[in-house]
Amino acid sequence: MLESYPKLRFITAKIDEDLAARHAEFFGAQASRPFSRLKREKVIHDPLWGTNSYYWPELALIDSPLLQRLRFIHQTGLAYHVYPSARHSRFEHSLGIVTIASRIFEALFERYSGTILTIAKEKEISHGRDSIATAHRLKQELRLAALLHDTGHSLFSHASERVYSRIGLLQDAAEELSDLIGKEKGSGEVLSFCIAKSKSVATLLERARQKVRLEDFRENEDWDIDLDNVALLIVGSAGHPHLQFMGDIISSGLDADKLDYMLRDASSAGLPLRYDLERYLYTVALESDYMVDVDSALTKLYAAVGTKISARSPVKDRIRLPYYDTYRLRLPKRASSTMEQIVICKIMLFSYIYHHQKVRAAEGLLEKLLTRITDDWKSRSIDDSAAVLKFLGYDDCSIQGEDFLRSSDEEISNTSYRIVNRILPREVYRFSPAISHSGGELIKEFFLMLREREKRAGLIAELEKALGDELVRIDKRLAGKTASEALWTAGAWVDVPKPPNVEEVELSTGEYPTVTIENLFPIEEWTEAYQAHRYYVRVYAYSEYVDSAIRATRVAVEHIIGIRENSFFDSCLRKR
Amino acid sequence: MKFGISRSVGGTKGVNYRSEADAAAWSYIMAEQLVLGDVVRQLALLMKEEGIVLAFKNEEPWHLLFFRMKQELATDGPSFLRRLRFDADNRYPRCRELSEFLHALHTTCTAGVENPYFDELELDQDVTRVWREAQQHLKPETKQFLSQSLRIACEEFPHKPNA
Repeated sequence: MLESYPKLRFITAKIDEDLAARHAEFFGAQASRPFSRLKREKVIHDPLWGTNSYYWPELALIDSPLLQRLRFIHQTGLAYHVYPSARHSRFEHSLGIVTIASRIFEALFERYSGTILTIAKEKEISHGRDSIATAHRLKQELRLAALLHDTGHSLFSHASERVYSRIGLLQDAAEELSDLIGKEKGSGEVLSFCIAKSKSVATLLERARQKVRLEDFRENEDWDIDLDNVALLIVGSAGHPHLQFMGDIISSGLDADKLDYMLRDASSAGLPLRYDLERYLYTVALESDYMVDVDSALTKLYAAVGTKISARSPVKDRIRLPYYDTYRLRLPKRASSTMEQIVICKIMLFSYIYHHQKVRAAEGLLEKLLTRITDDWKSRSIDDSAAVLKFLGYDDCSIQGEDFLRSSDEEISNTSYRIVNRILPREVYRFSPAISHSGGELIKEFFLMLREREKRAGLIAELEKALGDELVRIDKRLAGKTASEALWTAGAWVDVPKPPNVEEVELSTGEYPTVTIENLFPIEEWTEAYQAHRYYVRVYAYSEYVDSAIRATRVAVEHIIGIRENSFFDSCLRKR
Repeated sequence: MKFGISRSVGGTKGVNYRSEADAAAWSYIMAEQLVLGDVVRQLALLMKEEGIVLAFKNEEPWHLLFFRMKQELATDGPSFLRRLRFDADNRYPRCRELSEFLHALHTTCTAGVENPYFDELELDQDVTRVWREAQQHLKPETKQFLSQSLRIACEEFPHKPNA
């Protein structure tokens, strides 16, 4: 599948080398694990989803370092600095999403067994097996994709993922991945995809198979897992257009990932947020649809995985480009209240947890620290592949280790100490597009520019540079430093969180056109209200530099955005 | 060929603006090359003048417009067009970056939508004043590019009934 994608191939090979060296018992040439005979299935209990079975391929992966590392990566990053009980890990989440993905598949099979068995009968999907066995294999591929979907995470989850985009190799690989599947993907998804594609996973599963008793393989089951399809499901795609609904189960506006993390994050933090999963499962639908083949991307993808299928010709006045028939995961219109709950739940999680000012302070500080560390690696000629492997070796405990708290670089060590001991920067100003002032268009344009990919980084850099220059000018403790040194010493930065994105979710009406959620309830009003009143661009600084930061921020904002009104700054200042 | 505006303000960033109008044009001054957001802003103004409905809830015309712009105008047009990515898992070519920007117009209060149907974007008067200010400084080749884009927009978007 990766013949034409050298960066993805390179990263996958590097991951194999690294796993073999680091965990020889599991992934080396003489690997011996799993050592004992494997049970066909085992039961694992989960506080949210109860008692669930996991099958031997999953058990082999769960008991390997690939999944065990996730036990030590907090699902909500540094949110436990604010919500002490938010200690749940990527490991629990990964098991949870297996359960939810499985339940969605079963719910679909219960109501659309005819369609799914017809899909499973197709020559390009069945690989010569009967449709029941093929449906079993498809479900198993879905479960493995769910299990592996977060294996590319590094310390404190998304905080480190944001630094991935600074690694050139991962950026290039993300471009290749986007080309391969015909849709935009970020650096964060590359590693889980490559891990699923690795020889390490394939050989571990093959060895595990030898450890299962023959009588545990039942008739009407197919265990010949297609790991290409598993890797594609992780990034919301599939190896055949008729299997796209499986990609939707793993990664889409209605995906199992969201269903698990929302409830898990809320429950662990102690927040009373719920949605009606039973109704979701009762109503979730499989709908025939089509996907246009933009720039022949899908044709290339299916050729790359060996699926022999051709695009259909455009239809005059209806479908402009060649297209593929497909099946998509949808909720019917009557399930809109479930979607409503999910959307509210997501917005509330942003408000309570992900965008909490102290959580942002901790994660922003970690991001600055990781940026400094990756810059340091570059200056020491540590290449990108080594950087990627370092990240894949980290977990949250690494913050106490030699690359962080015990680093010989005093700045890195001190900042790590602050994170570990919650000596966090304070919020100096918070800006929102809804703050009224004369010339209100300036703040609106500022916020709009922050949403433009090509202007955002430059604008933040300009503002921070002006902030740093002013800090140097007014604070004697920073005299003689450059702007960036002053910002680092004062723990000052401009924090621009990613706003909540409520993906376009289409609700089925049983016929074309389907309707988007916005048709049924005011999702746009909610997101607008959130962003106007609860989404902030903030300026942070260490407590000992807050007074200087207040003055410097004002000068920087006047200078860069052009707002000069006292009342504006008064309303944005965090008073204590 | 460089697209964008011909004006320069001392060649520095973070300049001391001489007037509010200068400050208002700052967003364009930062981008030396015309980028997606600039084109959406300027096209929205031109489309409004042409009596075109600025669709919001149904994003399809926007995506088809930029998809065609990429196909028909990218060779000699601004460089951002060549790197725009359109996803292949929808009923039409869909650009996530464009979608994000259209939603940002609304969520940053830059443009309103007519409730409760969210059919059409309504541009904020104060903000469009800023955009018009920048419009005056567009290079001739940028104006030509925008007029070619407007021609495609006329084919892809619905018009107001009495326009």
